[in-house]
Amino acid sequence: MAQKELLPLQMECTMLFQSNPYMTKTIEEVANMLAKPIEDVKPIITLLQKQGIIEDVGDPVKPLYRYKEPAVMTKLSTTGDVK
Amino acid sequence: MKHLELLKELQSIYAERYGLTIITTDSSGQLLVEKGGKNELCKILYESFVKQVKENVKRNWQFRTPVFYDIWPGIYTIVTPIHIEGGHTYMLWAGLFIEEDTAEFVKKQLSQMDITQRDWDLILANTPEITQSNREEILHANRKLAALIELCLKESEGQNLFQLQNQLFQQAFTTKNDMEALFHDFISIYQTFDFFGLASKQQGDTYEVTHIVGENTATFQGVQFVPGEGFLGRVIITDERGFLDNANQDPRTLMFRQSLESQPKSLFACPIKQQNGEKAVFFGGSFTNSRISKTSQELVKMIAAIAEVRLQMDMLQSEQYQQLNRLTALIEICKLMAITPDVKRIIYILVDISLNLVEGGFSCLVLHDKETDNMNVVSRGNWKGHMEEYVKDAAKRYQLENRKQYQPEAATPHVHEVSWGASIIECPLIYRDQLLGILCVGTTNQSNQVIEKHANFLQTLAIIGGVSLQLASRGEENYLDQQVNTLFRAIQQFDNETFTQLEKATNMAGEFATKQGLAVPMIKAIVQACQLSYYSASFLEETLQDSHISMIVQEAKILMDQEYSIKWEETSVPAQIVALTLSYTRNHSIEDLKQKSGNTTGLIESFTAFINETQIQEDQISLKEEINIEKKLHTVSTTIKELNLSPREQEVLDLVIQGFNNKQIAEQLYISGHTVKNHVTKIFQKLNVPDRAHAISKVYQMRQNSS
Repeated sequence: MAQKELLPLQMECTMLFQSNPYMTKTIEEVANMLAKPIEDVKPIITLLQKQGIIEDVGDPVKPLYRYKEPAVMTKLSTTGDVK
Repeated sequence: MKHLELLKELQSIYAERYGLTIITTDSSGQLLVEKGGKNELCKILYESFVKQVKENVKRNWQFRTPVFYDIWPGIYTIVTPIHIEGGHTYMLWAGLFIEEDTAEFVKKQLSQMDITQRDWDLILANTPEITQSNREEILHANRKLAALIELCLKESEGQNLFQLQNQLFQQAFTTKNDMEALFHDFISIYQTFDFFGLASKQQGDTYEVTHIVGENTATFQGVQFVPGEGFLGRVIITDERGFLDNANQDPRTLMFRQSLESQPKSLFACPIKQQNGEKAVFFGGSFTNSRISKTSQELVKMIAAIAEVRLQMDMLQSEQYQQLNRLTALIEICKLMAITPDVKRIIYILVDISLNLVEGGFSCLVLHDKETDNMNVVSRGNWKGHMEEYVKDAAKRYQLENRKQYQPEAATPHVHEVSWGASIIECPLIYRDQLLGILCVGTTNQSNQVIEKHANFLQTLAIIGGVSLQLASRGEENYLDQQVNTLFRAIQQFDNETFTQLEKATNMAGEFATKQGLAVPMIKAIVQACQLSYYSASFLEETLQDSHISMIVQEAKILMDQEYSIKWEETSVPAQIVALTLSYTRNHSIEDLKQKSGNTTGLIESFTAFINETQIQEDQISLKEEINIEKKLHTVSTTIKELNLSPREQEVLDLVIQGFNNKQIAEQLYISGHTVKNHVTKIFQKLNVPDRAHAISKVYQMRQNSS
């Protein structure tokens, strides 16, 4: 239930990373950019990381999150294989 | 009120028999009926006695049997609490007594009290004494009296049941408290039960106690059980209410014994339905009453119904809040997609947001590439190695490659069950009647109701996505067109001859490609490659990013270059057409290319036939046009111009004479049908004719006369 209530923030956070694909930020910085409490942003970051939308490119001491582009497969023919 | 009369009668009889004064009070010390009996000592001390009763009644009387209580030193009353089901407690006070051989002591005590002096010896001699021999009898008599009064009051409580139900209903529906506050209200109103709780379904088949209210019951919060397990689990299976008397001796209450400090002596559990169709269990119990009466059972049924309604209301409110959240999110996404000119970004939004929402672990967007007839797939999450297989199947099912025309109403989401154990919500992306692609979002272990909600949201997302994608791709196409056009026109500025040659080649390539029945995007690429063939392929690649034009130009140039020995069949059809038209317009010959192809291709034969045919047609057209134009100049156009018509009316009349109807005229002149109708009416008025046939006839007559 709590997660569903945070859906708009989750989407907002996704859009923030998507709009800035090269941005790497800490949770605190993301919270600051979204003007939201860290405790609200933290579970969302965890969820987005789990969904593969963002990835941790920092280290265990200072995790840094960045947008992870989705997989793109082109020229997939319905009759043949991927070209 | 009959029960109160009966109570008064009982008090009097017992008081008379034992020489006492008897009163019955409620929990605040108020007398239920007038006192009974004429105990002389009590009569003198009555006001003080009542005052003492009111003070003492507030004590937490835990006992359930009659006890002697010295209301003043040496002066006793028998106190008997009467606990009525439903939580009400009454007190029976019977007195006054003195203990055997204590008259002198009591006399001293009385003389010290602030009351008028009496003949205490006489009064005390008439006051009942508590002796070793009569003690038990007196207590027994009070016990019997209390039992009788309890029956009277129970009757009274029964009559108050309706009132109690009303009170519970009002409390439930007039307060905006949450479920736990509601349970608190129930406990305070109906004190038979010491706790109320609610268990609802969690992951899998497990149920968990989500709400519990009552003293010392917090440890029961979070207790889990499965259907069939214990007293609560049994209710899930049977779907029937359960009432358990002497619960502390029942093996099915193990979960209560393990989690609670005190053992409930009676328990009840009722199955209730939630808004999402799942079952929940409303339960409660008492730590003191070992039996649940019929009245309590009826009230439990009612409280369970209230809890059910309340739970559904809470869920609806929560759902409404969620919908509002989703709507807010959707509005933000729409705004974003509306201002995003980038196709790639829109695709990423669709894939990411759908994953955000459904949380099923995987999503993808399958798009049909009109130019290559292949599928482009953008995906997220773990497809467990089935993505390619699934995309091919979905593309076939939706006939994505056939560019099937879709009706807007066909754009409804569909839930597809896959063999590898997942349900995938498929939402077609449609623009007008064209299927652009499919948004596919995986779900795992989600109820049909939840999937349906997701599907509705995704459908909206797909509709907006389809329109945004189409608009953005048009924007991108327009930008490319503008770039190509600028580069092509630039050639004219510094090499007009080449520009003219390229213009001719471009027209020829366009016509030939159209005649070959190639797809529109491919024809466009051929035309643009012809236009820009003046530039190097590397320059075009740098300038026109994400375009096939540079590749076509490069291949065409290699084909036309004598020094390269590239095989004809290794090159693309657009490059071959560009090479053929450029060679022909430059050299009026395609012999070099014929040799390179080894005379094996049908395309060169078709091109040769096309050149021959075009030349004949051009000759025919030029002759025809000369005749027609000359005739027209001398006839219709001149005649129309001679009429007293406005330039627009002349245009309309010209088209009327050519046989166009109003709708066709509107399309030709880019005006509304209504405006055409107005023009035609005015023309008729000016020519003084009733209809089109007469108008045409009149123009021809005038032409005849003038010639």
